[in-house]
Amino acid sequence: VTGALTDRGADIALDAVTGRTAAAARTMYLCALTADPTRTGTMATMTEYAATGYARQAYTPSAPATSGNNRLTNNTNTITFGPLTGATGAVAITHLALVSAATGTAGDLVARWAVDASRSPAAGDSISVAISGVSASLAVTPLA
Amino acid sequence: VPEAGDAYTYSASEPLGNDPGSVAPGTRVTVREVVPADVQGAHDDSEDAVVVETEDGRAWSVGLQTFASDYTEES
Repeated sequence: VTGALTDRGADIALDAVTGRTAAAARTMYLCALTADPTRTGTMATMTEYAATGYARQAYTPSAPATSGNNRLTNNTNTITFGPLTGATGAVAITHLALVSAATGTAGDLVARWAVDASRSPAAGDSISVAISGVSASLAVTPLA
Repeated sequence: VPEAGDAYTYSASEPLGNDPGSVAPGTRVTVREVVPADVQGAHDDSEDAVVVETEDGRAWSVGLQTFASDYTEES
């Protein structure tokens, strides 16, 4: 899937690099969304999938590693949403987002992804994201 | 009423959900959170939800009434 940091995610990274503020370790959660939250989106403005069976999933990141001109981290666990027993087949999951709270709208939305093919789960379906399926990276551009 | 950290077993007679990804009867879960109906990040019913998770971190939500009938607290 294609992903990017949000402005909030980039700010947290830059603040940590420059020492402006320290970023404490915390559990992050992957959300399923029905629209792009955009780079300036927040947990309060994102449009999250909702159905009985749905819950945000804990995201276990790898240590950053080199990938071309980037440093990259990705999920080390298979992530499964569901079983979505209340799904109707009428609502499409189009995007994923990484947030800092298991529920609610308070917290940080730090990264977003567009899924390769949207999915409209039927009742009882589960949606899985493979290991390394969602990654976040920062460019380490060579000096000119 | 379930509380965060309580241990339960999915004890219904049939697997939960469709394959692939169904949950087998006998699966042990821990209550992550009881979520009021109007809180984002779980189900969309008017009923409060219980979010349960397995030992490997997979989580799902279930309405309180269904939870009471399909999940058994471990002694």
